[in-house]
Amino acid sequence: MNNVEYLQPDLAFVARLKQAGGENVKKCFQCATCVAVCDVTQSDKPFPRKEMILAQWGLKDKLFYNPDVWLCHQCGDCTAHCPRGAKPSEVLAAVRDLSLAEHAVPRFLGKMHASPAALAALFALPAAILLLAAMYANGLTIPGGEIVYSHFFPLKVIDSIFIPGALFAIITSFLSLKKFWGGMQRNNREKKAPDVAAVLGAVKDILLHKKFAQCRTNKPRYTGHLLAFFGFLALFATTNLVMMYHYLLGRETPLALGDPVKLLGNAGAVTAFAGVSYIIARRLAAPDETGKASYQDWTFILTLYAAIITGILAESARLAGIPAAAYPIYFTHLVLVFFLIAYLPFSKFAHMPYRAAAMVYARSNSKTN
Amino acid sequence: MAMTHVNAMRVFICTGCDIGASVDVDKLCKIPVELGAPQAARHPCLCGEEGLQYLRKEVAEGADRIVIAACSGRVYADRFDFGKDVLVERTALREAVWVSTPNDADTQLLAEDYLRMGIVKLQKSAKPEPYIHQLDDTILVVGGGITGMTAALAAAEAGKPVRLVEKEAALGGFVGKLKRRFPVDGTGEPVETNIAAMSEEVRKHPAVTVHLSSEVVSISGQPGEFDVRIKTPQGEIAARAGAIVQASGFKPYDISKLGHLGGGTVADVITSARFEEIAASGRIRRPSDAKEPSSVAFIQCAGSRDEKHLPYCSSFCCMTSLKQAHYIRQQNPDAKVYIFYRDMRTPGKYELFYKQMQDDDGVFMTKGDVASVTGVDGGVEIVVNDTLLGESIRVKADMAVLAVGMESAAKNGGALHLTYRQGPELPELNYGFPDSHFVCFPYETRRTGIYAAGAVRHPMDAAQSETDAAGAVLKAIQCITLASAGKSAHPRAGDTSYPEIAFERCTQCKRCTEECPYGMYDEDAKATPQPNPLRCRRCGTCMGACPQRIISFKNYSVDMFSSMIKAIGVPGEEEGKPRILILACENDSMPAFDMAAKLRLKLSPYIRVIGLRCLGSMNMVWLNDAFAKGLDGVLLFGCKFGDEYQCHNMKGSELASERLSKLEETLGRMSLEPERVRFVPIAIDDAHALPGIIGDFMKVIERVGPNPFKEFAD
Repeated sequence: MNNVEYLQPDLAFVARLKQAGGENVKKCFQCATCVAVCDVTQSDKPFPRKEMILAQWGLKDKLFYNPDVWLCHQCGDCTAHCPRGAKPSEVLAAVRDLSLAEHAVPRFLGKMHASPAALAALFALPAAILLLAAMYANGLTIPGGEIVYSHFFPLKVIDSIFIPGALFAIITSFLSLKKFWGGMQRNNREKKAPDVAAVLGAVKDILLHKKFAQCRTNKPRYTGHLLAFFGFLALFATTNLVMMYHYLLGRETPLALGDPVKLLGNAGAVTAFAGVSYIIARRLAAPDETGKASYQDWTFILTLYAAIITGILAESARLAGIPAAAYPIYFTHLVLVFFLIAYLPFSKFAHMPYRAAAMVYARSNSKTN
Repeated sequence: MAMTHVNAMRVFICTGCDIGASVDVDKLCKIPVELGAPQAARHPCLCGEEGLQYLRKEVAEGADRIVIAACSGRVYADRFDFGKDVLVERTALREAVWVSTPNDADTQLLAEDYLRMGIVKLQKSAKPEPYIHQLDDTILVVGGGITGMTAALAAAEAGKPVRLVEKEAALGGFVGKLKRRFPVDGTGEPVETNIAAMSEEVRKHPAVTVHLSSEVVSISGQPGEFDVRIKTPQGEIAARAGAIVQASGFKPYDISKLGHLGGGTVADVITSARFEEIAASGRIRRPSDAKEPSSVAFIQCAGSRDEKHLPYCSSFCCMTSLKQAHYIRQQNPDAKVYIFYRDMRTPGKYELFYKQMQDDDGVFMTKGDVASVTGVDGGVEIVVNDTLLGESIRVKADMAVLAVGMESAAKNGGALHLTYRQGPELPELNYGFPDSHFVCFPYETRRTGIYAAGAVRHPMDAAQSETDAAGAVLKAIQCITLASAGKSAHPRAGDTSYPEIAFERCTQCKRCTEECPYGMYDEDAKATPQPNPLRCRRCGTCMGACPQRIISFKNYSVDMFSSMIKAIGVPGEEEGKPRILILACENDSMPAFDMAAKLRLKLSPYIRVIGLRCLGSMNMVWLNDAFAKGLDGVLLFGCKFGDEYQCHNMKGSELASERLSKLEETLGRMSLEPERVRFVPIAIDDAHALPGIIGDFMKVIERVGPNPFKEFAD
């Protein structure tokens, strides 16, 4: 064979990884204590020991197209027990952060999300679109009379912005995941397509937070994530139900407080607020247990938190009848929501599809599951 | 020599520590009279201040041979020391009663026999007359590397004249050729070797004479009187030395034996020693085309920890490769350094340097088995199996460095050229390193007054070599100091006796000259032994070996033990009470008896234990004596021998067991069963096994029956 393939360590990647939060990666001396304490480890996969040496050598393809990296829920057990202070859970988090940019289609959006300098531009886009829409709809004046947000932003206007936004997210998610999936197949020489049982199993695991429940070092995150997850799910459902009310039943917002959909929305808001509050409090109070939060972590958590808070405030201001506060808050809320939804495959939010894909991949190809 | 001082002999029996309550002391007191000595005196506590004062008074009144029948000689040796003019024999009655049933007839007989043997032993002893010569106290250091120079400076600072012989044209040795040394405390960068400054200090030291481009041609003589011939550029010179430190270092393992790793065949595959030379000479360039490498692979354990090459770990290679990785990364921050290891071994603070180098982005390490290193277009290809990356990997680098291990420079000889009958160099232990008592006494070699230090002795790095040099110099000075007073060096440090030979009866059989573990005897043309008493460590192996029984010490002789054996009371066959003689090494087996006594283990009352300096000093005639006397069996307790030997004198117990192989002839002549003699390796921690070992042997004796010679014994 003339074209022998040599293993090529990548110094630049090691440097990037260190910068992205994996600065202790080189400290690993391969003792495999992490393997002994990790719940993701399988008998034929010394995870995360092997990922640590792949990272030390800068073998990025083997990391980026590795389902195990996404099976990790960053429970922090490996970091807590590592005798060398190599912090495997933080290294893996950094790998995940970097791989978001790697898999992103289009690539530049991934890169923008990794860069603090691009944050203003990312927010400016939905802000400008919504501003233009508001100008078009009502000349950017605060409507008089009873506070009805659809007077400010008619539902048609909203939908004409958010439905394309959501479609963009869906299409780019699909393209990004396709890249990720193909890479995993190439890397692991496992060509199986996702099967139904694997998908159902993964969904069950996600809904039950099964892996989170096994965490020890960072156990409180189970509660935080569970609340945030179901709160968000309820809010997402509410949004869709409101759309159905409008288009199918002709019922308009604001809904009465006793309306089931309204009840679901408010309950979701309170739950998500509690969950994200708890996550932030833990991050601040016990950074050793939660692991160091990266720029992407904070951007996502705070955007989500701000979206929840502005949602609650918008409803409160409406009920209190303060138009001067209500409409600007509502506007801000919409900018934040657009940011979350449309940029989903590029922000930290993308952990949801990637992790789900990795779980399906692992289940499809695993000998045991 | 015997019986000349009988009048000055006194026997004291202590009744403390259960002795008085376990045996009839009055009866014991009469025993010395049988042997022509005055009746024994009894005292309730000889080791107490009152008892000691009593003994001192007796000494002042003229007693110069004292049997103290009390506790084991291994306790209170300082209290019962009355100066060099008083011979003291310690009879361990206390330990004897502790392992026996109190107030039993057999216990009484046991105590009586021990007392008889003690008295006889002292009767057969004479005061040693130390061999005192005017000695030279120059320390000869062979080798001018870091070990040799450290040794030279340490000896000179201790006030000894030093003569240093270095075969190369400059001092410095291996470390002198290094670019840097790795940091001893593990932190920071590799450090300057400072060899130039050290060499300067050595050369300028008024007490040190340095011979460069010189070699030792021959060494003869003994500690304090070594005659050394040195070939210098100015011609051959003769010099005297008191002791010698051999610091001739090591040779890196021959790379051409590592063909599977490209050694000797691929130009860009070199040893770490060669790499160091390249690094020390300026920019690091690979040999084939002088290109500065942008990737270098280090192969650890190249030919080390490998039964086909060097089976041991050389302990410096891991740190050396980490240091050299540092050179490469300094020279080129984009360079890639691979380190393929079996285990990284960076003990102590070296671990900090390992951590530091691990943290370098450009250093890539993995455990794995390097299957091959081959030359390919533009560099070398390394295939590593079973890596931590979970697969076999194939890496291409600009060059490869084989971290080869150390071979002792003493391997195959050539440094000392001793004129000794037993050979020109220090005897090798394992793998070509000179023999030392690795268990307890690292600097000791089997050539008295010659101490190996540094990598010639054991694989070690520069920092360890410096410590080693200081240790060896201390031993060398100690040896000269002891020799000047006619005293033995380790392990019988301070012993002033030495072997004397009745040459008129010597048959030139060469047993003594061959068997002495320390090469004390040279031979003349007719093979007559030529003793060098200052080389002697007083183990008595020559005495045990001599078939003519013409080698004796003033206080240790064949006759002494024959007489002691003959002093044992042997009951008639009809009594059914056998007697077993145990000859036990006093370094390790006797302490096991003391330990058994301390633990109050019960031993057969039919045994009679005699301590020997070393089982190597056991003369076969004693077995003859024992059986002629009517004893039923003999146990020989000595140290474990072989590769993991425990013998203080390295070869003693092994030689004793070899002599036993000729025993059947002796026993056959006497029509006795070979089972009556057994060698058992015993160490101090085998105390718990003693009752079982002795009990088993008693059963064997029961089976073969009583010694038929009982009838004829006097």
